[in-house]
Amino acid sequence: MAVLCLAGCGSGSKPRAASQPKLPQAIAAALASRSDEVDQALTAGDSCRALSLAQQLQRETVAAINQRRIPGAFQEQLGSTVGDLVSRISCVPVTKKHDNGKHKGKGKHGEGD
Amino acid sequence: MTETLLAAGRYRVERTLGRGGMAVVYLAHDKELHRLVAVKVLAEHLAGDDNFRARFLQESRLAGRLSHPNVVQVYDAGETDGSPYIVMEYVSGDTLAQRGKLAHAQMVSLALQACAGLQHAHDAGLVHRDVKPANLLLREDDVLKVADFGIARAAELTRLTQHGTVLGTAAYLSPEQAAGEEVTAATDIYSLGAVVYELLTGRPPYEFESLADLAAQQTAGVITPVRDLEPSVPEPVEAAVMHALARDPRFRPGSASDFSHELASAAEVPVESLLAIAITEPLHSRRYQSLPGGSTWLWIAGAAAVAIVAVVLGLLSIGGKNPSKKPRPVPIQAPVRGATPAAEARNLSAWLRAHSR
Repeated sequence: MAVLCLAGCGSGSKPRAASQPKLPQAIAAALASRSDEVDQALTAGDSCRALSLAQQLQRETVAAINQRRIPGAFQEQLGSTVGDLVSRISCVPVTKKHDNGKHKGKGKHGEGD
Repeated sequence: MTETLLAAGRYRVERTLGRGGMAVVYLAHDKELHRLVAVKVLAEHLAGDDNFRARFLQESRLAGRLSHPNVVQVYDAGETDGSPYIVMEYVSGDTLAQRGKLAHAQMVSLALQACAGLQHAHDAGLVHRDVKPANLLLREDDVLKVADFGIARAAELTRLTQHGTVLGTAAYLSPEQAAGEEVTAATDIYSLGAVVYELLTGRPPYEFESLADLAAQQTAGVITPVRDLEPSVPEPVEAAVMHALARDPRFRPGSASDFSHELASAAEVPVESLLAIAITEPLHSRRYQSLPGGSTWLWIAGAAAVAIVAVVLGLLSIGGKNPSKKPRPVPIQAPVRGATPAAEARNLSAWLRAHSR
């Protein structure tokens, strides 16, 4: 029974997998790594660095699309998400601490890691 | 003609093999064991630094605990005329620094061996910290050996690295090393990735004019993909190399062994030819183990049954559908918009990874 199920599932899913476009791993990994850095900067409360990194991510995304390294099926979703991310980040200098209830500034932390 | 003797006359110097900023390496004859050895003697200006001298010997002794076919064996360490020395296995051949670009199949074979040597050291708690082509020795029979474990550590502990680092060496420094941050096994993986990148493409991941320039590029620059420079490299090999070169150590392969498995599965060369050279991988990790003798026929019968059922189901499937109809492309969903920008960034990176090859 298990054999039948395995064989059946395998033969049925193959054509669908073939039609699924994929991002080249190198560029996906590079952009994901940059996105992780944005997340880390935001988590650390460094919004100015986060904005700078997000803008860098946007430039790299645009360059990758222009170089035809991003398959068409991903271009709109990727471009719009990165654009949205940049627009949501505001650079608030760390020295002026004015919490609106959400910002969790931890001050200088990081060097002792 | 007078002969030069080291270590109370035990080693007779035959000739100088190399001379660097930190040490001179001699080819010598071990008069006790009647074999050729390489003797590395610390440069005079460093030998005068008591702290460095002690570290050098301490790290050499740690390196002496390593015993692996892909690591240059340390035989002995001591002091001769006030200068510390290390006696090592003599490897007759080239270093990878003397090689130009390599075909991807050969490079992968060599990288697998380097990974095996590094993994052995990492398992012993030792990080190399200075993996570079000049420290990867290639014997005439194509066996690769990693040299100079512990030397970089000694230099680092005495704050000599930054002063002594030359640009040619800096090309393989990981971002965390360049930033003076904690060094782990992931550092060696990055450096090996940089070596593989250079030997595949003919240039290092970053081209720079100063250490500050390198640090800036490592922070904000993008590494040109391997295949942009050398299109013959298969995409999976490129992906494995770029994975090793991730800026953040957490995003690199989890171990040297993981990196070697990524490379091995990515290389479009027969597995046999890789294994013929990568002789050091433990047998239990190889994937072509024979089946247990008593159950061989049971396995064959089972495999045959699976094949028959698959063929029958395949025929049924073709008969029941229009074979000319192409499968519909699956629409790509955009990343989930997070409640916060940080969550959105996390979702984006997870989405990118989930949709990559």
